[in-house]
Amino acid sequence: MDSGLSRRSGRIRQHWRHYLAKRQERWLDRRVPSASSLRLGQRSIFILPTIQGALFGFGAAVVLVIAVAERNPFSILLTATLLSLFLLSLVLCYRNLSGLQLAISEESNELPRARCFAGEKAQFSISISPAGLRRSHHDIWIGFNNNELQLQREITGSNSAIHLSVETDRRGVFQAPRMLLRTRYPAGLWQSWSRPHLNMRYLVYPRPAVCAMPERYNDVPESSQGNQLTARQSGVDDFFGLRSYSPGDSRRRIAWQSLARGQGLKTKQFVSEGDAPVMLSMAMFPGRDPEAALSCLSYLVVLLISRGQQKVGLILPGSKEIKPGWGEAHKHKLLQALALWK
Amino acid sequence: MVVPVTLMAAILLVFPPMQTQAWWLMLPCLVCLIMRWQIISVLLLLAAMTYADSWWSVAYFLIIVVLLLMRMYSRPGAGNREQLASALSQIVLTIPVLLVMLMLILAAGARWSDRNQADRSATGVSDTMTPGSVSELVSDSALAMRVRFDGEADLRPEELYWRGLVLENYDGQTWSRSRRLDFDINPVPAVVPAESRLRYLVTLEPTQQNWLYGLHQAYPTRPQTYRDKRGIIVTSDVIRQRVRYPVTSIPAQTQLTLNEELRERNLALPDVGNSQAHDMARRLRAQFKDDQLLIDAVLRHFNERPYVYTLTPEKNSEQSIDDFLFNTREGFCEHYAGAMTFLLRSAGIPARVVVGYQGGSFNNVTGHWRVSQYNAHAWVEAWLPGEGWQRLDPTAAIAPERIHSGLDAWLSSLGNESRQGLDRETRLRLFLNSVPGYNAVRETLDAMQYGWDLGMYDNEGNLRTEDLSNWLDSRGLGNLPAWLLGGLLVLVALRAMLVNRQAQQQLSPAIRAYRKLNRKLNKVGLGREPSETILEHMRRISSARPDLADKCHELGHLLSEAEYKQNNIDYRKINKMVVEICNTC
Repeated sequence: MDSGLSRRSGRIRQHWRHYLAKRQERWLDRRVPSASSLRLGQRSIFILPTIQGALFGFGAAVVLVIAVAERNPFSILLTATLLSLFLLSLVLCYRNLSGLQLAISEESNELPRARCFAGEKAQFSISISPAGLRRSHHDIWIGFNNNELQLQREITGSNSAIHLSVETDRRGVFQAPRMLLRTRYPAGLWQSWSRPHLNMRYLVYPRPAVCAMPERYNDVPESSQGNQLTARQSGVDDFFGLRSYSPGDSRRRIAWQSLARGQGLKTKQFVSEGDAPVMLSMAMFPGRDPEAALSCLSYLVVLLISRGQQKVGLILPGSKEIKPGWGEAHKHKLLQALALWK
Repeated sequence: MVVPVTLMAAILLVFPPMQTQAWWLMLPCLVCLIMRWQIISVLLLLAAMTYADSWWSVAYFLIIVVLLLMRMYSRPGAGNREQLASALSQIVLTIPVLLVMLMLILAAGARWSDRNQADRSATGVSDTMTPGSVSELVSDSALAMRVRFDGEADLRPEELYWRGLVLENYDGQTWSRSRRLDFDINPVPAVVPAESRLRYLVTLEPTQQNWLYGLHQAYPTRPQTYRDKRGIIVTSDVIRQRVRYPVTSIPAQTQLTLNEELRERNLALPDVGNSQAHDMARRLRAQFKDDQLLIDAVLRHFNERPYVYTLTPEKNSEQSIDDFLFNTREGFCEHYAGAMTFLLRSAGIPARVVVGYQGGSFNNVTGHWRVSQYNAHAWVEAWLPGEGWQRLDPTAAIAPERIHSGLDAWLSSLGNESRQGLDRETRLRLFLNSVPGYNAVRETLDAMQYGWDLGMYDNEGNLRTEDLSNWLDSRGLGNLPAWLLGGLLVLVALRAMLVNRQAQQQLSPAIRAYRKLNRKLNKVGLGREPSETILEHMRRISSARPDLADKCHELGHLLSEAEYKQNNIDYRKINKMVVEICNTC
């Protein structure tokens, strides 16, 4: 009886919380619309005293009244000092966020890098610069939600880039959530915060799910007919290209020349001719729901391309067929198709 | 080990407050500062600030404020220099804000100190009275006293005549008190039955004067306070802070005999001046042989002739009584009391002016009477053979509603044009009185203030903490709190140091190894960024130093395993790898 009641009241409370959060979101959308760059100002900065601050200010005001009533010039002076420190702190705390410029960092949010698998963290890069050349901002916590904030000790001079990451959960185009900037500078008496929204997107591939390649898929229609997947030694015959180094690669395959040229750590890829191209399709996984099938396909794309033995193609219902191909760029083409399907 | 500068400074600063009276607030304040309970520390500091009494103490408190601001700096791990710079810049920046605030406080009417308070009592009760020289009586709504009666005393405002001083000397312009005191050291007469005794507690605001107030014939209980035979209550000290005294009042006892000296003093008038008034008194005397009938005739004269009660009378000439009685015919209580006393004395009836307060407003919340400065009043006492001293109030004959329902009710019954002549504060008060709910709020606030005063202060206006220290002193334990708090302070300081060391020891061997590595990496500019995880850090090193990539990769995995897996951790391997990496970079 009792637990039923509390469960129901819990549900009502949850409902209300949800409703209020939605309302607040809508209100914020109107007040601080999303943009590709913005400057924090009166419309986007909120400020309230912290609990310590409220006690500080209230206490100072009460004691000031007592001091005035007792006509003690020394305690009037002291308590008025504390009260004015409290008020000054409001201005300093507001000013610490005011004028701060946020923008999507140009160089690092281009599409080739802005992608990950579902379940991984999307990395956003944001450029942040002070209000003016002579201004400096201190101790600002920045992040996407309250639990994962990182501290910027000082923002001064030219613009600096910060990297924020946020967990992704579904494939598709991922829209960066509202950011949170929070500061209690200088004395923790006030907390000012802002919820700017930068228009940043991320491409999220389906989460790879380990699954075996079906033994036989001759019934797969059209072009994939007659293809076979047989485990062979990885190709050593022909140099195919370079891909970025990943841990576990043999040292013999590291492209030392390109490293010497300053192009970073690369691994040489070789392929052997004679491996027949594979045409992947959802029909390979009958009986699974589409999302699970996409996860399996995602896994197979990564696996097959990284082996580099065969050309891999993809056909998805309702979208254009992708011709078999090789290499990193092709892998991302395939994964993008998987991410954006339907 | 680094002892924070704030901690050292706070320990050093413990010693000055030991000499001041607020040490029992300052010691816990500093203890809290060390323990990082900043907000408790702030509140104790604020309480202690009310005891500041010199520029030295201001400087001392400012140093504590700087320490506090350092401790409250928004990033706890920041260095001392950074914290100090921030605190000092805040102090400097606050100066303009402070100046504006002080100007506002003073503009709002607050008094900076009570040194120049002599002008204040001018609107209340003073020991001289010069009716003709005042053209405007500013009614001051400041609190004069609060009175709480014991038991169920059913009193109406018009019965409450709070006697203060008796003014017997008149020089043609000014009424003043006679300095001669005739002490009455008798206790309350036993013949007076208990039911006709009034017991009450008076809380008097600072008057800067040396007399108290009471009803009828009042017997106060207060050290160094004496009764005069005329009913004046005199104190040997000047009332500089709020005092509280219990009083027992009995109906005025008939004083059937009047000694020669007293009779002479209460009949004395200047030889010259005010001849018209003398003529009038002579005519009345010829008409009425009986004193009582003569008094009634004077009151009837005020009532029936076109006399006006006003707070803004015209000034009177040299012959102030004549001018008032036969020319201007307008004035407030002082004019009427002065003129009536003059007429009675001239007609041969001993009379005197009494000044004090009249009425008050009853507070329904706590059931006390609030008497304000604008309740100040002057009235007449005349001596009749066989009846003794009788209270006569000529103001009641001119404006009875002024006495029955109080000054404010009388003022608000006035027309608009008469109200225009009033001072701004009074008009504001009248307006506020007409706002619904204002009086309820004011009564509640007044009740709260009264409750606070009763609870926190003793009868002489000192904070009740004295009671505790007196009790300790009486047992020879006067220094006990200081010793206890001093001991506590040492313990706290020790604990703060030990906790720091313990926190380091509790780190897992893996993390300690990683810290060692990080210190080494810091020197080559590859240290961990604040937002980085260990794994991310290792990955960054791998990309920056491919020759270390393999080792860093493995170490990263070992470390994260050590963090999340509880057993089977090969710390030796971790240490070995750390040493290897340290040697190569």
